[in-house]
Amino acid sequence: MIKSVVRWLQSLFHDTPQRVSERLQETFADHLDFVTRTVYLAGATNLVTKMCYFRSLTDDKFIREQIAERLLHVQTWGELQQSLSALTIVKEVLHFADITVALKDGYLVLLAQDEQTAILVHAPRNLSRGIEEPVNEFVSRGPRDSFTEDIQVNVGLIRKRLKGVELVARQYVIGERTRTTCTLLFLQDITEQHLVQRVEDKLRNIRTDAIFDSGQLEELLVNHPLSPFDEFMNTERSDKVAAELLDGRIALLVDGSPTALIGPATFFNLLSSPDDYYQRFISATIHRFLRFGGFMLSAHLSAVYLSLVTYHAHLIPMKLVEILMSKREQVPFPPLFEILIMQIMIDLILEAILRLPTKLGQIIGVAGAIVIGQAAISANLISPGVIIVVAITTISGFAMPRLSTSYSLQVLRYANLILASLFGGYGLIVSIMFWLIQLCHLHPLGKAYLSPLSPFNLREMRDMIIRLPKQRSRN
Amino acid sequence: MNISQRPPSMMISAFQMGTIIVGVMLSLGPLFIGRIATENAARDGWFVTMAASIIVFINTWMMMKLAARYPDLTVTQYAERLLGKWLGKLVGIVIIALGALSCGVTLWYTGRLFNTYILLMTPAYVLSLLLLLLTVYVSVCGLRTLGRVTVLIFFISLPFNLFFVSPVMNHGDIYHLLPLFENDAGTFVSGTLAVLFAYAGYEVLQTYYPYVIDQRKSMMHALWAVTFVSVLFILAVITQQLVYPLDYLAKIWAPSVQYVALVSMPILERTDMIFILFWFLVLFKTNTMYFYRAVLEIGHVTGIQRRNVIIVTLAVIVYSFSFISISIEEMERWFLYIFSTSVGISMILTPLLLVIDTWKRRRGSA
Repeated sequence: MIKSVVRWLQSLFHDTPQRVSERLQETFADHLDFVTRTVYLAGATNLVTKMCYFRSLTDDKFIREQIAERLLHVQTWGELQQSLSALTIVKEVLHFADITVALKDGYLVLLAQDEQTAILVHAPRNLSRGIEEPVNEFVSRGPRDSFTEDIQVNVGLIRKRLKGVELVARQYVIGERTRTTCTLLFLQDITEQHLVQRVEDKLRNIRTDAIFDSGQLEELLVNHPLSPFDEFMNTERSDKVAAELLDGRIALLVDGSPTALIGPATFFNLLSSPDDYYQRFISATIHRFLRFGGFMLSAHLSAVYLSLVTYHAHLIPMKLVEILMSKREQVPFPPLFEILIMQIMIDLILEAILRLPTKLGQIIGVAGAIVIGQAAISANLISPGVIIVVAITTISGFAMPRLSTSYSLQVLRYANLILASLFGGYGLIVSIMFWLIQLCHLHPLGKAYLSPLSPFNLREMRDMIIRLPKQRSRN
Repeated sequence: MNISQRPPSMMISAFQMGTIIVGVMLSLGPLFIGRIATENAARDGWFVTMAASIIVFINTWMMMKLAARYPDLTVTQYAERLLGKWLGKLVGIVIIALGALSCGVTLWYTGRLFNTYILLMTPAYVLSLLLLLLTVYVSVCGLRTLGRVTVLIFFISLPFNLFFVSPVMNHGDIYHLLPLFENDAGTFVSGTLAVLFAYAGYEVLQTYYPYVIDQRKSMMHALWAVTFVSVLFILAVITQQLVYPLDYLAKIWAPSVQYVALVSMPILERTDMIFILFWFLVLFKTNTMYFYRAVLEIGHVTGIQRRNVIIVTLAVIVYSFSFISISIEEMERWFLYIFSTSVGISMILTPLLLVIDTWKRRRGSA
């Protein structure tokens, strides 16, 4: 009697298996990959079981070989549940909404006629690729494994490097429609609590329909979306994430994205590469200086050239002026136009290379850079000085360890060019000041973007600008 | 507002305050100090500069002592407490007016300087506008950003400060400086007072002090800043007097810029042009500090909470200076008046307030 009253009360708050089954068939009527089967448990002809799953998301072979096998040998619903729990994750729910979410996560749903709960069996089809070498962050020395689209694999790669119990991984579901899993990783004993709190608050307050990649999450987390500078580092390397976690930062992984976010980023972080720590410290330091020089060259060289040629030719030694001007005599365009044509052309070639298969990309690169450049000089459309300046500018830009830094540089370069073309050196200095103010103003997750330079911290500076020998640095 | 209640975006470190003082003092003053010192004290110019440095050093020490007694208040706020509401408000208005005037004059001068040396065809008011836009942008960002920018500019402009004190020995003549002390006491005093204009700017610390996080270190940082600038000024006057004949030095416009042209660099034809381009950073810093000081004090005197409204209104007012069409010599006179008044008021106000405060404290009514 009591049992039936409880069942009646439960039925008021839960969906009955019969209702769930009908609604599932109704809802997914147009979904060709949705499968429903009726199964009888062995020896119990009256216990009808409905088996529902998405063929595209669930592992068919696993269902056939493991689950169907068990259905043939168990007598009761309880036995079935016990037998499956030994095999994989099993959940008990009876809410239609929960069941539909589980189906899309690769679960198989088992519904019995007379039972109040449904059994969810985790049997996802493996939709991810294997672990491969990083595509955008190649290092000459160091580990070669990179993240994949599977968040569990990615967390595993980090756990493999940080085996201590201090590594915390908290999960969040973001996106009303995509229900994407995001994992926040940090080291409990190193990362400051206010930093974790800040990120968690931000994650909880995200209201969006869809998240497909960490890039979208990054955009939702930054304080200054209009700034060209990255407030988070992004990486496809698990060793980089592990090293940054040891430095007290947090990492964010997004299911379906092979790129992790690390925060807070500082300006100098963007110029440091993972293989700085796998090389001898002297050569690593030299490479850091080279990259910093590359950053400055890439952002300013074309603007400096433009302002010198257009406004301040008297600043250049006479011999150099003669060489530059004699080559420019035949060119019909003003210097700004010349530089813009060349710069846009190179940016277009780079964009094309990114979209093409590697071998074809190389051919386009060679054809674009050499043939078009040479032809432009022969036709007196562009002076050789401009070709040299733009080539140095572009190559320096791609000396950055991350592609996103190169893209930030592109914005800086065009802004500097425009102001230099309008006001010469004065415009360039104004532009530099503007970017400097912005760099000083950025405060991702409460950390000064230009630290340890401003606010000045000599202790941190030692391992930021130069690379200290391993014996002298913390990590 | 108590220090602990201020938002982090409105706080600076003591070192940043030091670089702010250096930045404000090194504006237009160093461009002219050689000429003004020579004009008023001939070959004792470097000596009167030294005397002015000592006066400013003592005044700074007094300012810091007074400010330390009111760690949460700016000068206009404690002036109101010590001098009474209306007199205090008057002091506040004078300080705001001087800040806005200094900012306006710096804007005007920057436009004209670059229009004369670098961009002959671009109107000076357009060049001033660019500087003002940067000032407004950094002011909107807040004091923390301002402090950080100041530190960076301090380090970037450090080598350029050394440009105008680097001895150009092949041009020098020690007899330009000899015999020493040929002037009477009257000339010496008037020369010292005339040179004081170049030190204008150190008084901004009275406004920025309550925003310093580590106030215990502020005295040290204020004093090194003043010492640093004083040494630069003294060296600038000495080197310029060594190189130029006194009669010539007393007449030329901005001798420092002309002096820099003598410093030769292997890859540059015109060192002075590069110096002027980078001097923009220093002028920007000065302009911003005066501007932001006026913004903060307007907020305190009027009680207006919306800082961005003050910033935009003040920007329009100071920009109107850029359209004043007077000769560079006339503006130079104005700028000497304004900067001298600014220093003069600080010289009188600080000891006065210190005495009143001490007296009130002894009576137990402060």
